[in-house]
Amino acid sequence: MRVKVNTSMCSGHARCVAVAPHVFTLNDDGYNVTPESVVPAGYEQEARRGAMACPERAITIIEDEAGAERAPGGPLQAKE
Amino acid sequence: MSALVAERPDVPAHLVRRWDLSKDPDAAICPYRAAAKLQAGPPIFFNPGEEDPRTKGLGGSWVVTRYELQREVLQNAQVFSSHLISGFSRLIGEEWPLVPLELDPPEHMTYRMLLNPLFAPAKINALEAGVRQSAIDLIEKVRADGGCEFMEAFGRPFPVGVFMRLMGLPLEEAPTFLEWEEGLLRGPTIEARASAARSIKEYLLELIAKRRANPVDDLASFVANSEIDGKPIPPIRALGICYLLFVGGLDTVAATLGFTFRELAQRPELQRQMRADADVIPDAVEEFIRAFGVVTSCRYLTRDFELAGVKMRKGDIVTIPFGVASRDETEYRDPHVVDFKRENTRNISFAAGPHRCIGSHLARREFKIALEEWMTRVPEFHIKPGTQPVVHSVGVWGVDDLRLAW
Repeated sequence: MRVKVNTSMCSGHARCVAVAPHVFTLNDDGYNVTPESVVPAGYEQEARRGAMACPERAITIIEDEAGAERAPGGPLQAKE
Repeated sequence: MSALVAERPDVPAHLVRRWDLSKDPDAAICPYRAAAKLQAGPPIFFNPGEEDPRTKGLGGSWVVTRYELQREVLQNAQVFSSHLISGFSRLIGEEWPLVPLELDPPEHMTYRMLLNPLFAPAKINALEAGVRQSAIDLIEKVRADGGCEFMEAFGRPFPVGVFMRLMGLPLEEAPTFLEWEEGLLRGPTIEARASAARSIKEYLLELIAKRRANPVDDLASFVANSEIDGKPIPPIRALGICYLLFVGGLDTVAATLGFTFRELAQRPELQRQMRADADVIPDAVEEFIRAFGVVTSCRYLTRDFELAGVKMRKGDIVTIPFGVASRDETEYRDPHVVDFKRENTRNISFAAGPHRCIGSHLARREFKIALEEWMTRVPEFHIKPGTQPVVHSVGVWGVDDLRLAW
């Protein structure tokens, strides 16, 4: 699993790090600067929750190496 | 429908709906449930209203009722501008922006980057001790009394105390600030509101001048002595920053605390969850913020734009009541239920996009501390028998009177 952050959409809510501290990194201003990266093993669910917590829908989860992307915030966003 | 709408033939009749929470008796009990009735209607509708000096055209505004659409509006600051939208300076016949909120890009980003480091999550730790002491002082004044009127005892003074400490102002002046805040936001007449607006402006300008002459270690000194591109920022921008911290950080926190403590008093099982396990409190904070968005933001269109099939015109005003997004059933399951274990807690109670509330991390910390200290120091509380909480849904939705007993 990989995560991709649209950093230009990030507006510094910092909810990703509150929910998924092992997956995402903030800069000193509190904005997400995580490079596109592989999620550490065992933190997949945390990564999904972190992506879902983003009010801006700026975080995309790429579930597998085949590249199937989960739209930002979805599909978990539809109804919890 | 009315002459107003007849003059806007571009607005389809089925999108016109008069909405005034202050005239809805249900809102006197719960603004959130009353406002959620909008969700039976269109996602965006036109609410005819009085002529607004901010618009070139007619009165009224587009009201956006869905979380996702509110997000889109807030994220698109190029089309949906917040320049001078709050009208605080116009109250006194002037035109200067709250900073950075009422600046458009690119100037917005310059000021946002100046202030972001001060309010970043990691920086809030430095404020923790002062905020906690503010909470403890207020609680200790009433804990032996077996009850209190929450807004007077805690809801209003707590954020004012935090603001005073942050700005470096003497705590003894807090009652004056409370009076100005009340006058500015809920003064009985335009004159009363303007008088408060003027008092705040004069006080802050004097403070900025003092701190420029003799800087100390506080936020007012930082703002007064800030430089951009090697030049000191103009006093009118320093005023805009301080003014925004004042209007943004006081009433909003008080209001959200009010609804939160009303909920806690009515549902003591929520108190029990936090008392049994303090680790639940950060989730509780987020859920209360999710459930009780209190701000209604406005934007105006910088050009014609179509959103969700609705054609809006340049100059039109868009109203974004966050309290409606709080209870959007297309976003949240059982939106009216406060549930600390809710999986989807993402919310736009602090807005979204470039103007996301800069004080959001401080506000969350204030909330966490308030809940921790109340749960530790005060036994289980409920609504005082024979009393009814009084709420309002004009301007920032909030609580006027909340009598607790324990």
